[in-house]
Order: sequence, then C-alpha cells, then structure tokens
Amino acid sequence: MYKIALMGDRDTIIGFKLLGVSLFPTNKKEEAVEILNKLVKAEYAAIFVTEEIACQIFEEIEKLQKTSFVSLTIIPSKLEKKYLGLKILRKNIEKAIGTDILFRKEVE
Amino acid sequence: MLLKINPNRMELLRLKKRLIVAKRGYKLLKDKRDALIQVFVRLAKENHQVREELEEKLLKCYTFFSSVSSLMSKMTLEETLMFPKAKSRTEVSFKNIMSVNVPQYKFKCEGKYYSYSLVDTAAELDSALKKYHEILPLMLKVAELDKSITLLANEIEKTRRRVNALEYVIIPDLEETIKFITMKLDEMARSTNSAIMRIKEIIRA
Repeated sequence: MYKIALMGDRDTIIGFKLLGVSLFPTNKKEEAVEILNKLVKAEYAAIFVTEEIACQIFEEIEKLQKTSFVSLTIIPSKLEKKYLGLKILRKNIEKAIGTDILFRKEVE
Repeated sequence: MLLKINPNRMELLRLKKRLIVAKRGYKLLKDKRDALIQVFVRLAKENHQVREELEEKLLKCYTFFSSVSSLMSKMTLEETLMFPKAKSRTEVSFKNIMSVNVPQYKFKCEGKYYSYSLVDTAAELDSALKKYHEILPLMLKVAELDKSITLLANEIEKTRRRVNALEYVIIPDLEETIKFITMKLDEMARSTNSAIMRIKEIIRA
C-alpha cells in the first residue's frame, strides 16, 4: 500500500486533511523542491501539486515524472485556472506524435 | 556511407546475416511504434476528458469548502481538521503496454472521515468532506493517466528514433557495403580469369 500526498498552498489543500492524505503546505520554491525530493524517496505513489507551486518547480516535476516511480499530477488551485496540466499533456502529445493533432484550438 | 571492412567472402556472409536481422528488427519496431501511438492517442483523449471533469469538480469542491469555513470560526475548523482518523492509501499494480510498465492505482480509504464533534461543526462540512472523498478516485485516475502518457511518450520517441536509424542509416549502409563487396569480388574473379587466359596463351605460343 502506498500513500498519497498533496502539496500546495494551505487554503487549497486543507480540505483533504480529514481524508488521511498527507499534506505539505508550502509557498516557496526551494522548500517545495526539497519536499518533493524527500517524498519521491518515501513510499508515496501519487503526489498532487497545485498549479501555483507547480509553475515554479516545473522542471523538477517533469524530470521526476520521467525518472521516478511516483506519479506527479497538477491540480488547479483555488485562485485561478492556468491549464498547466493540459499544457503538459499537449507537450507530451507533441513529443510522441510530432504535432498536436488532438486539441489544438481548445487551450489558448 | 560504406562501412570500413575488408572486401572478402567472410565479411560478405556476416553482413548479409546482419542485414536480415536489421530488416526484421525494423519491421518489428515499426509495428511497435504504430501500436504504441494507437494506445497513446486513446489515452491522451481519455486524459483530456477526465482532467476537465476533475478540474471542474475540484473547483466546485473548493468553493464548497470555502463556504464551510466561512460558516465556522477559524479555531473550530482548525480543531476539527487536526486529527484525521481515516487513512487514504492506494494500491499500485502495473500493466504492460508494449513493454512499457504503466501503473494502475486503486483507491482505498480506511476508517471513517467523520472524526469530529457534530455539535460544533456546520452541517455543510459533512457534505464537503463527502465531495472530497468522491473526488479522490478521480484524482488518482488522472495521476495514472498522466504518468502513463509521460512514459508512453518517452517510449514512442525512443522507438521512433530507432526505427529511423534502421531505416535511413543502418539498412542502406549495409546494402551499399554488400553491393560493394560483391562488385569487388566479381572484379577480382574477372581479373584472375583474364590473367589465367593470358598465361595460357603465353604458354601455348
């Protein structure tokens, strides 16, 4: 059995607290990277990161998603929608197929 | 480009064997690439759909929870959330798609999440928590699809590079070298043949 973790600004993720998910509230870039690297080594299978923080540590997330066992997923934060998750999806599609044939128009 | 080898029969046989292997590998890898792309496109579409659903639902959850926190004082909310009884875990199994190991998550929640006094808390908290509880499997589904897509995209990129290397570099090189060696050998045979004929003439004269 593996654990689930959430990382992001406190207001967004606090609602998950009673469900027994591990929460790591943070706003700072360095701290987030540190936590992320620690979590990857621990027994977590899925880590959810809110968009605000994910924007800042985007490269780390991409790297770990490729190389490690955990699945890093970006979820929208409370304040605004940035479509970062969809952007990653589109990037992967472009990498695999060469061009974004599936949904070119919908984002931006 | 010609390979750097000596033009003799040994090499010719060796290269012919390599060419057969290369052609077979090329065909296999091409099939693998096509199959991977097929799966990938299906997963990408699914991911897109599920993600949109999730984002919509999550935003609803957030607003719902905000209204809950506005109904309760900050202190009580903190107290309520302090000691979760439930434990959310996930089971991980792997599915093999064309030699790519893709994770599958199964959500498990142990214990009850209503671990607070009903007197001090707003009734909306219950339904908010229920909503959060319902959304977690969906989140795991998105996590699973995200990971699968990243892994598949990498594998497709790798396979495509291999296919291209075989198609445009290795197979043409081998063919060219084989042709070169055959020509060279033929040429040598002809030259010895004419030398023998000449010697024969000289002896006879």
